[in-house]
Amino acid sequence: MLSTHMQDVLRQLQDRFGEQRALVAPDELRAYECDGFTIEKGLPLAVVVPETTAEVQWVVQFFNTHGIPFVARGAGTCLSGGPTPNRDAVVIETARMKAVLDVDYDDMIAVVQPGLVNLHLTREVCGEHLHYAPDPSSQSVCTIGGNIAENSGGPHCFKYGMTTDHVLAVEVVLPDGRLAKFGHPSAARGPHELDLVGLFTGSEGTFGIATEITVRLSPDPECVYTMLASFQTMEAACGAVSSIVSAGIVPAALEILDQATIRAVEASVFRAGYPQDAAAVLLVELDGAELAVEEDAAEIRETFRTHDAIRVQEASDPEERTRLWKGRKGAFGAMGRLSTDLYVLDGVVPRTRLVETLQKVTEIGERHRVTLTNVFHAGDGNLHPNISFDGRDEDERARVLQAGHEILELCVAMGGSITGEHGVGSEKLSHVPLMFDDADLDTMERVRRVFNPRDLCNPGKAIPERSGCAEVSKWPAMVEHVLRQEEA
Amino acid sequence: MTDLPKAIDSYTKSLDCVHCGLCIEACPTYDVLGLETDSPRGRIYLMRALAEERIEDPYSIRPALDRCLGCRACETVCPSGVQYGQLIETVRSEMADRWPEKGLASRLRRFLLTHVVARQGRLRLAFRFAWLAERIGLRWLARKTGLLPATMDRLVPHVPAGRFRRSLAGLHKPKGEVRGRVQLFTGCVMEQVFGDINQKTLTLLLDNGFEVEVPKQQRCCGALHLHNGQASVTHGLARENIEAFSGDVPVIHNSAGCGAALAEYGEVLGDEDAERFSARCRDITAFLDDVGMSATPAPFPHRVAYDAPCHLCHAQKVRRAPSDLLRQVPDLELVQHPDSENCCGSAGIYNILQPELAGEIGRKKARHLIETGAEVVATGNPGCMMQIRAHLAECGSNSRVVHPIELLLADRDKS
Amino acid sequence: MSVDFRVVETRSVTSRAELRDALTGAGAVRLAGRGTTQDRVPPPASRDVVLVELAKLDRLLRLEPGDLTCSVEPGMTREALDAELAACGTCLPCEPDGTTIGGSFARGARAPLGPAGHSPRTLLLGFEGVRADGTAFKAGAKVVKSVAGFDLPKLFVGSRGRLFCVTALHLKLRPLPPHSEWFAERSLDRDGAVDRFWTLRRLRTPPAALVLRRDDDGAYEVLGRFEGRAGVVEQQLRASGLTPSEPRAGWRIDARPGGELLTGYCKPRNLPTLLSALPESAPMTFTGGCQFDVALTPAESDTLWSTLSSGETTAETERGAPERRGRATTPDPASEELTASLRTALDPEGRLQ
Repeated sequence: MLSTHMQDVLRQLQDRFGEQRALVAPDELRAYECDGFTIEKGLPLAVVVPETTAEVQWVVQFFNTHGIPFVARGAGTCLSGGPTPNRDAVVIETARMKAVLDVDYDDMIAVVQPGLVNLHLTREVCGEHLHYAPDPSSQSVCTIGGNIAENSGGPHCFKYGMTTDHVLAVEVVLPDGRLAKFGHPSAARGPHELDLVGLFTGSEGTFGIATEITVRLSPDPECVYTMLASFQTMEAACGAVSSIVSAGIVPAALEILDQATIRAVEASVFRAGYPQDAAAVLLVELDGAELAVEEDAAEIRETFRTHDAIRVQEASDPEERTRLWKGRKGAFGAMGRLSTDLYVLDGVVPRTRLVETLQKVTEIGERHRVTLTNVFHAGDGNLHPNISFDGRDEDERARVLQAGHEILELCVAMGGSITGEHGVGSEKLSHVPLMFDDADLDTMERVRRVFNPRDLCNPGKAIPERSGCAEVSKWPAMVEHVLRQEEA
Repeated sequence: MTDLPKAIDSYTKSLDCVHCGLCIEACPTYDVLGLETDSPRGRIYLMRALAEERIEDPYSIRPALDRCLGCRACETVCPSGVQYGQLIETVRSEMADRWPEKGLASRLRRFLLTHVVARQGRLRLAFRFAWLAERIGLRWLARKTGLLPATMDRLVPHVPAGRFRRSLAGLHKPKGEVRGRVQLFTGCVMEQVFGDINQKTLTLLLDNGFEVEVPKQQRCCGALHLHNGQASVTHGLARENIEAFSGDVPVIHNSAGCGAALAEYGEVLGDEDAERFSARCRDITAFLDDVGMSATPAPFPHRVAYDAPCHLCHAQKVRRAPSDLLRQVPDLELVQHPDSENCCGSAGIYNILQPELAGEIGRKKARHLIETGAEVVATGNPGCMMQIRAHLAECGSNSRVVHPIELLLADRDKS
Repeated sequence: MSVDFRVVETRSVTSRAELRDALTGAGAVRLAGRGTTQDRVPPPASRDVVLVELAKLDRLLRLEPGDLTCSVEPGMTREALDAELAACGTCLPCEPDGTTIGGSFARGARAPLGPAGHSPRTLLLGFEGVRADGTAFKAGAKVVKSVAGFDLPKLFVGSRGRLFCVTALHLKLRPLPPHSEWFAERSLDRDGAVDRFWTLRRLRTPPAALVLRRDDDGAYEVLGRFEGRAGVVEQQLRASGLTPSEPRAGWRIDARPGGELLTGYCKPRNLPTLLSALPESAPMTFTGGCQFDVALTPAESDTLWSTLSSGETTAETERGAPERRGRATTPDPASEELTASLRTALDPEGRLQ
């Protein structure tokens, strides 16, 4: 049972937003207890669905008054627990703020609301041969607001960069409810300004809630060409990637899927006709001027030959290209075929150390007896080991978590990172110290406290909570928690 | 509830979901409401929680589950192959048994579905009364007195004259050479409200050289009962239909909703007879596209938009056949309609149970259709025809709504 | 070293330990590389500052051409780095800006020259640094992609050494383009130049560098550079009706004697408005990355500042007398407050100036 004070707060919320825009029934709230990372869960106190910046501001100010933590959520496709509520936080759902507010086709910029689906922006502007470049694999559902919170990547960021490279300005409701505007439609920072846009992007929703976002659009390349080569060994596939990069070619994307992934994809509706006998398939996408693409393709064909590719498929028309990509884009969901739960890792290693890393990853998987498949952005050295498991089996769950930890340890030991594009969220909090020591985290904590001094905005995410800080601001929620338990 | 084998089965199906969320944008209710609870992933999660006994008050998640249109657009985009349609129908059935819906309206609905819709004789009688009632001005009176709201009035079709409500039972032979033989499923409400479409379907098959048998003993398909959580009624109807359609020739249907139900008898009953029957069932457009039209359709010099019924494109996976056939109609211009595969909000009797949400979804569909500039909208499901017709009219459009087969006839004035 | 403000002492550090000593000593500090761009930023607020020079921290720490990354100390010059990179077929794909790498990133003053190019903010992957209190810390990573921890590298770019000092920068590289060709179209009138600029900027394969330039005689030209395979570059020039010209590395304008340089960003759509607000004789450039530079007399500068409002356009006086440098459009109040709080959080005593 909730305290009478909290019941009153929830009643006020429903009075303001109505029952369809303010959920408070605990059973309904279950649906919000996790995102794409299902291992850790947290039940929110409520869910609010604002439709305007003013409503977001009202909500944030309201929760500030009552000392209630809150967290913004888009489509809930995050893979690190970013929007999973901690400390009974209220979920602020941005799904209804999905308008394209303005598009300037000449200047190639668009102003959008945070709940707009990534792919819908491209759909809106494609008539003018423009697109929004960052393309996470969930782009058909994930929101631009969520992309900004996590600084999402995607297959094409090898050439075109991450979300942060495409954001020019954000209007933000700060954690205390004030409205701020970072950046300009012409540049993310003025000559004399700090790059607050860059700092906000990737802050995992802990620095405030973006309510209006200005992004750079990119011209569609004149020509796009997709090549899919299959190899008898993973070494050969990685070797081909190295040769391509050292030849000075910058493909739009370089993706590798291992055999287990290929088989899962081929058994799903995203079946793309990938050869199931190959140890690895390499997907290369070239784009740019037609002649440049032709010359690059010829060179890559030669590279495939020297690395003994067993089969090469090529496509230039959109339908056929989409089919080659289909399997890669749906790889994550297709893993659902292998077992009941899925843990998607996101480590990065220097690209030249991919082969040796993958061997060790396989060893780790075998040692802990877990079903492990690999799909990764080879150009960036961004690995996505997927571990399929049955979450109801406690022992298996523990082995999965241990294997995951060892894989991330390995990535850091190789000189890499614990996350390339999924974010730390709550999932990798315990791995952060593998990369950052006390002084590093203290510096980051100082920055966090500038934006989010009461730690009400998506508490306990992105960087581990450090002893001594923010204890005071935790009080209202902690007291509430105790009261709840007593009343129960 | 975990002691029920059915529950375990549906639970296992829900485990295929890895919570990736690639389905949510395909969901018409999520599109309008923006709530996880009203998305396929959210509903699966709630159903899973119910099976795991983590739901304290099943009644509180019921509205979210009831708001599902059952359009199954989520299945088309699901990379894990979750069988959402069967999952939600099973759970609805379980819930109807264990936590029955309260209130007079729902009891009345159950009564009508069980005792009228499922009995073709009574249904025919009911429609005869309805037709009479309209003729003596009762509908006019209901509208004037506000008993029948304007939106509902637009939605509910006028009952056609008796000659269009006649049963087509019997064996019909084509004039020329015989290409093959088929059986025709004529439906329950379909026969009473869209009897002319049944007649046209018959003509079309005859024109194209097929002998058509319309079994007299056929019954309602049972789809509405299944959506309403009355699985046992559906099971009975399924058995009777399998019996009525004995033989091994194709069973042709022209209503996407009924077709989807017939295609699932195999899964629902789980025996070989049912599976064999389901495999024989074909939508008229899919069938004609396969065998090829031998009779050239009459020219139709108009702009036509094809709107795909969910139960045809998502449930039966018939996605290209209707457009491919329409393209063969001389002078017909098939316009681009990117919104084609999104639900119109009809969904069986959904537009009566959830009028507000269905209205919003219907208006969105109408707006998209108006944007296409089409003069005629073709869609192969009676519910969708009614819903789209009502919302186009509400949005001030005078575009006609037809069944695709109406445009495929060699002589449109004949039948 | 061109420093036009008072310096009580210059300490040239050769190690991280010396740097910490210098930072934790008493008094205000101004960080510098070789000091060559000190006259392009506002002078320190305090009268007595110690100038800490990083020019001798100039090693290339790591170069991984296969990974397209490297790590350098802040005092390394751009020329020295470029030579090392070119030798292994790679490059740092942003315009040089100041002599040292540290200075270039600390200023972060150069937008990309093409509409889709790189600037320091997209190339700094991570760093090792020292706070004003002497605490050594790091952020970001050495690999091309990492979202672990807050993006403090972004915070460093453009911070002008006023938040913390870096001792190593981890950079993202690109393959060295096999071929590049400049083009220049001269003697255009204003509308012709603007139209040409817009068309080239909007190409589906745009040039790597694109500049609209007006000389002091009022003549406009549009110049730039295509990069890539030789055949492709040639084809692109031809397709746009352009002829190759001699390299134009020196296209930038600077302040005239006794004059000022105003730099900033505006939307290409607002370019005609900006041009009509400027005096006819003022040399100016506008790049594909939306950055403008304009040389003005102090009087002209005052007139222009009275018309510049904050919002879509953002600008600062970059060159001129010390007391006139740093005049800038005002950000919104919340951003200004956050900026001040960030300074306090990282340098509570306000010693980095």
